[in-house]
Amino acid sequence: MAIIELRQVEKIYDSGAVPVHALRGVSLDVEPGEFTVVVGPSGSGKTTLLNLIGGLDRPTSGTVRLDGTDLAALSRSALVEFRLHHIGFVFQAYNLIPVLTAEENVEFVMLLQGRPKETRRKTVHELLKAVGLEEKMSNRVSELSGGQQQRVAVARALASGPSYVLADEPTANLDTEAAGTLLNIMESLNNERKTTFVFSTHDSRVVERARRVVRLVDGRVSEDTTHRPA
Amino acid sequence: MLFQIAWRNVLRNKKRSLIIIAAITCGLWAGLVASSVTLGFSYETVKSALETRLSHIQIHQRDFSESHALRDTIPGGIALIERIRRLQGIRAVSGRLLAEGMASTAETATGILIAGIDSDEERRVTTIGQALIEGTYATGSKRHACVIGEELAEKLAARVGSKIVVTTQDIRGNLVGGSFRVAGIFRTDSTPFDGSNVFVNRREIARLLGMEDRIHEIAILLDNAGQLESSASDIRRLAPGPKTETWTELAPELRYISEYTEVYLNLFLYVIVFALLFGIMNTMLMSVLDRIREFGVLTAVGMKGRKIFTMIMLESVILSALGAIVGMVAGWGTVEHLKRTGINLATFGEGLRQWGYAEISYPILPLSMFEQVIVSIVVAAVIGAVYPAWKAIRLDPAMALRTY
Repeated sequence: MAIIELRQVEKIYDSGAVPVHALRGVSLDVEPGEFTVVVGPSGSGKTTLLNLIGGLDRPTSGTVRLDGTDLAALSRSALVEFRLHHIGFVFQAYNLIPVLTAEENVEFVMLLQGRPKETRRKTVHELLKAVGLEEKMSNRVSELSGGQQQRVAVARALASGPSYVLADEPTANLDTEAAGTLLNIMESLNNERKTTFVFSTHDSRVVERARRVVRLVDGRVSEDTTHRPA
Repeated sequence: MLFQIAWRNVLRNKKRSLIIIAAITCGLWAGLVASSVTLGFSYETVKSALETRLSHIQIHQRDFSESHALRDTIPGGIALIERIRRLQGIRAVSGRLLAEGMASTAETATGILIAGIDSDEERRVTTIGQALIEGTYATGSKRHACVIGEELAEKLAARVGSKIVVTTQDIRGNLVGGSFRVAGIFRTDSTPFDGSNVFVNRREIARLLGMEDRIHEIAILLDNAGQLESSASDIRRLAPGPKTETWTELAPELRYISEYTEVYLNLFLYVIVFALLFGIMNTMLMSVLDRIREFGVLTAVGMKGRKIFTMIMLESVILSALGAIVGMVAGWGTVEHLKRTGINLATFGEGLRQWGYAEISYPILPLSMFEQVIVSIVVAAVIGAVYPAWKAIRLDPAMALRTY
C-alpha cells in the first residue's frame, strides 16, 4: 500500500491579480522505503507538491492520502498532530530552533509527542550518532557549520519516528563535501531503517543517487522513472 | 521545555529585551515612588489633624456643633471621662472647656478660640506638647499660664513670658476678662490652627466663665485606629445622651483625602501599566514578526497552536516580570531612603500649612501596592501578548516557511 497517494491534485493560488496553477492534475504514489526525488525547473510546482504531501497545505481539488489518511478529513489542529507523528521535515535553510542545542533540537519533537525522558535520551544519542554528531550534542546550532546543522535537521526529522521524511532542497546550501556526507547518511538510513525519503531538488548529485525521479513541468508530472543509482 | 525556550528567546535579542525591561522598570519605579510620596503626604496630613485637634473620637452635647453655646456642655462630662477611660481599646481621654473670645496685647487684638484643658490629659491625646518651639506646655504649673500658636504669637507680638488679656462672655452673658502669661508657643502643620487657638488651664477658665466642673468636648484617642467604629459604638452605648462622632464624621474632608488618595493612586498605577501594555505589545509583536519562519517550522514539525500561544505568553510574562522586579526593588530602595530623610516641602511650606498640610512628608509603600503592581503587570503582559500570539498561531505554515 502506498504511503503517499495523490489523485488528480490541482493547486491554484488566487491571492494575486491572476490565479496561478501550481499543480495541474498530479497523480502520484510513493511506496514505503522509497528514495524519491522530485525535480523540475523553478516554478514547476516542486515546493507546492512537497507542501501538500507534508500536510502543510491543502489541494484546490483532488485527493491527498497520507499514510492512509485523507487530508481533507483533518482539521487544522488534527493536521498538526498528524504531522507530528507521521512526517519528518528537512528544510533547505536547516530551520533549527536557534535557542536550542543540537540534542535539544532533536529531542524537541519527542517532547511534543510526550515520550518519556529515557526514550528521548536514547533516541537522541542514537540519531546524533547516526548522523555523526555525537560530539556536538551540546553545541548551540549557531556553533555548527551548515552541513552539521543539516545533519541535525535530518536527526530531528527522524526523531518522531515518521512514516516518511520530506526534504526540500536539502543540499542547496551545502558544499560538495557536506552534501556528499548528508546524502550518504540519508542513503544509509534509507537502507538500514527503510525510512522513506522524498526530496525536491535541483542538485544533480541528489538526482544521481535517487532510485526514483519524478519530473515536474508546469505543474504536471512529465516523467516518472525508477532506476538503480550509479 | 516551553519555559526554557521562552527564557532563551527573551535573551535572544538582548537589546530589545533590555529596552522594554527598562521601560517597565522606569514606569513602575516612578509610579511606586510618586504613589508612596502622595500616600505619605495624605497620611501625614490626616495624622497631623488627628494629633493636633481631632483625635479619633469626640463627644459633644447634641446642639453644640451648631450653637457653640457655652451652655451646651456634656451632662456629667467629667465623670464620663473616667468611665470612657475604663473601656477597652482607649488610649487616652481629655475633657475640654471651649469658648470664643478676644486676645489682646498692647500691640493689637484678635479673635481666638479658648480651650480649657488639663495639660496632663491633653498631652496624652494630642501632640501639641511635642510641637512646642518655645516654653512649656504645663498650663497648670503656673497660675494664669497659656500656650499659644506661633502664628498668634506673631499677630500679638507676644513671646514666652508676655502677658495677654483674654476677654470673653461668661455663662450668664457677662463680659469677663483675665490676663494670662504666655508659657509656651507651639507650631503645628496648620497655620489657621496656630493663629487662633489658646490653651489655658481648664479650672482657671471655668472659674472665669462660672462653669466649674463642666466641659464641652471630650477627645478620645484609641489604641488602634482600625477599631474606630466599634469603639464609637461602645461609647454610644455607654453615653447615649451626648453626640459621639468619629473623626471621619467630624472632618469628612479628611476622610475624602484618605479614601480618594487610594482611589487616585490605583488609577495612577493602572494608567502607567496601561501605557506599558502597549510597549509590551509592541515588543512582542516585533519578536513574533521577526520569527515568522520559525513559527512556520514549529507548526510544521507538530507544535500545536496552544503551545505556541503559551510560549509567547511566557516570553511576555518573563520580560514584564523582570522589569517589574527591578522596578519594585528600585522603588522600594528609593522609598526607604526617602523614609529616612523625609521630603521637605518647605518651598511650599507656608501655602501647605494654610491648608493644614504637613511640610515634611514621609513616603509610605504598603505591601498591597506591590501586590497590585505584580497582578496588574502580569495582566498587562498577558493582554499585551494576546494579539502577537494570536498572529503567530494563525500563520499558514507553508507561507511562513517561505518567509525570510
